[in-house]
Amino acid sequence: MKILLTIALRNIREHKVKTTIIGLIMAIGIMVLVVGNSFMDSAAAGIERYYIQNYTGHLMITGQSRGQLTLFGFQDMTAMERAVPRIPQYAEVVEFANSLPYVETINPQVSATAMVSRGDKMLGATQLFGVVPEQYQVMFPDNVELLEGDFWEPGSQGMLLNKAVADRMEKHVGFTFKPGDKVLFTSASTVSGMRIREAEITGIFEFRQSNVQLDMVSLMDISNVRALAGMVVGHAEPAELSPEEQAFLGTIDEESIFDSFDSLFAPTQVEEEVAGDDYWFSLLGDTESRDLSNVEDTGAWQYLLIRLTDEKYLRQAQADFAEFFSEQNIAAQTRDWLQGAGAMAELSYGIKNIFNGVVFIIAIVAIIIIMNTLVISVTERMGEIGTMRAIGAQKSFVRRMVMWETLLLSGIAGTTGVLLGALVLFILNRVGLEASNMFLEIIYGGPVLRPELSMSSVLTSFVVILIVGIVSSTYPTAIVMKTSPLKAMESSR
Amino acid sequence: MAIVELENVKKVYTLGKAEVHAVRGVSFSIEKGDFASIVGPSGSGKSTILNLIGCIDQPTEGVVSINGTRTEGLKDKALTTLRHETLGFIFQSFNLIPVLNVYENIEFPLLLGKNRPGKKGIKEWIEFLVEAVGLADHMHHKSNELSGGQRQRVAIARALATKPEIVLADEPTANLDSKTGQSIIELMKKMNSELNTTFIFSTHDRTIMEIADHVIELLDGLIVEDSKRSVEAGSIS
Repeated sequence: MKILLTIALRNIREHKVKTTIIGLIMAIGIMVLVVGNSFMDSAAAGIERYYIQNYTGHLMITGQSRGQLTLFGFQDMTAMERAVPRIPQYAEVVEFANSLPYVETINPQVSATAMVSRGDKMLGATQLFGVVPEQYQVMFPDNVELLEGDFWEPGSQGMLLNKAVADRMEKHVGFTFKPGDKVLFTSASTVSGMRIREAEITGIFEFRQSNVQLDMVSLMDISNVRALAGMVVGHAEPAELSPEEQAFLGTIDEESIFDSFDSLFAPTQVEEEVAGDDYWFSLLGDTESRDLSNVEDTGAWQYLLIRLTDEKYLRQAQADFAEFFSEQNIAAQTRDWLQGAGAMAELSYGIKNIFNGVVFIIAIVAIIIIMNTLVISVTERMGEIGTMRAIGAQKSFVRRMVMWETLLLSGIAGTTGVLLGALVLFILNRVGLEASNMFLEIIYGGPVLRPELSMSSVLTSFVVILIVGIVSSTYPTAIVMKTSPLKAMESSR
Repeated sequence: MAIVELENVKKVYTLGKAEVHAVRGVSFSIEKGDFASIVGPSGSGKSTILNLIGCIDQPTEGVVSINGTRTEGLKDKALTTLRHETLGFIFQSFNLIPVLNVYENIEFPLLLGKNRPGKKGIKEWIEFLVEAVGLADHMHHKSNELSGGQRQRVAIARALATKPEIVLADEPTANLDSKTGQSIIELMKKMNSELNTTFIFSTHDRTIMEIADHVIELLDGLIVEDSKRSVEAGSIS
């Protein structure tokens, strides 16, 4: 072992050109890997921290549903065609959540998308989070920065308009929103139809930690958002029918209800005696049905956001809630913060995967270059290796010798790369990387990224360099193994 | 008892489409303790025979027995073990490991096998060998810091490190001036006498050949003379 290390170390020292070429490739590769991975880890940690602390909590409970349900609603092709499900047996779910020792705080929420208009001018769209200010501020105490006005009074209605939303709209209409202004919000979906609500702006705010998706979000009283989301007492959700009920309905078709299509054009017999005005006014004046369809379902929530005392309880919490839902037969489910965070957070993670793919390609290129250099190096030393074999070195000894040499070189170059990477990261951390555009903001998980050296990136780098080292030495070792001691010695003459 | 025995050994090399008959059917035996010389002009098959005895090449036909072990059919691992435990090599171009110093080069074969002697034993033995080959002052020099003669002395010490029964030397003086070559042969003879190690060396130098007590003369891959004679130790010391 000692002799292997001695030979390996001295060969590295003696063959300066080879050492420099391979060492540089490896060191630069590792530096890129460390910086890139730390960068991505920092961005991911940033995204996680910002989202958990500012928008999502660790966990969100929703009604059971398929598809990509986020805090912004469904983020797939079905978004307009189905309502975000309510949390069934909400009170029991809340009671259970509060009974768990690792649950720090909870915050119920409802989400809706609405067009904003004032007078006859359509100003643009905004995403609305329907919240209870007291609970929302306990859950996310740091993220709402009030620029003007304040939250609406408890029990009353109102909205906080996001400055980013206001800025976009103001560009179109040429006036400045201020607290006290009233605006109309219109939502539409194939499920709940079109709904219009007027709300008073009680304040203008901005999210301290924001991104392009959150720049669309304004906060509104729960009552108005429920109405815009179609969460009213008269709200009808698709009914699950028993086979008997379906069989019964099967005998009724549209024609039997509306008669045939031709009947629409059939001559109508007008009776002489028509109803008088009193009759029609009595019909139109009866708004009981319409009023019923607008009565807010006060116990209805789409999301229950949960912040845990520590992220380590995330899996336990998911398991406990799943068991509770199963035992109580509640059609609800948990989604972790990443699922709740929506497309932007997922996109950041997607970009990380792309980066890992690029790293994989770089590693393969590095393997090929290093392998070629090692082949040349080993060929140069055929005589030396042949001598060793002649005087009694087994193939395994030579294999280990080449391997040790590569691993030592990889280790030295890898450590150099890590140190260089750490230096680059230290500088980047001090300087801070500002996101100059939306794309970078998505990658950074916020407006400024201060990357830190992550241990996982260091470990990953050493694992990669180890694999690169082992794989690169495989081919040259195979060449040596195939060569007889005699040929090896002859080749050196 | 013969320590090396060759029975009708032939070796044919393929050189492109042509076949080169390097050894055409050679039989001889070398006794333990012999100081044997294989002589002949270039291309006579000296190096090929040494390579066959050294188990770094295999005969096309015939049997090579080393210390009673027939080498044909042995796997690489067994051949390597045989080389390590029974044979020592001295090469024409010295073939020292360039990154190791004198001490480490001599020590190297001792670190290869499974039955390694203790550290203290190794140190004392290497110091004895270094002293014996007259390189006590160059113990920590690397091969590129030594002259040709000094390098060959290191190679002799290395060949003797594992206390092999046979030492093979392929033209050990070819790259040395005549005076140094003479001293190297005398050193080998001294080791042969003191350690009773069998030495087999190839040469085309007739003056060096005179020191050998067993001379096998080759021409075009065949033995033309196989003679043994008594050489008084006193005359070469």
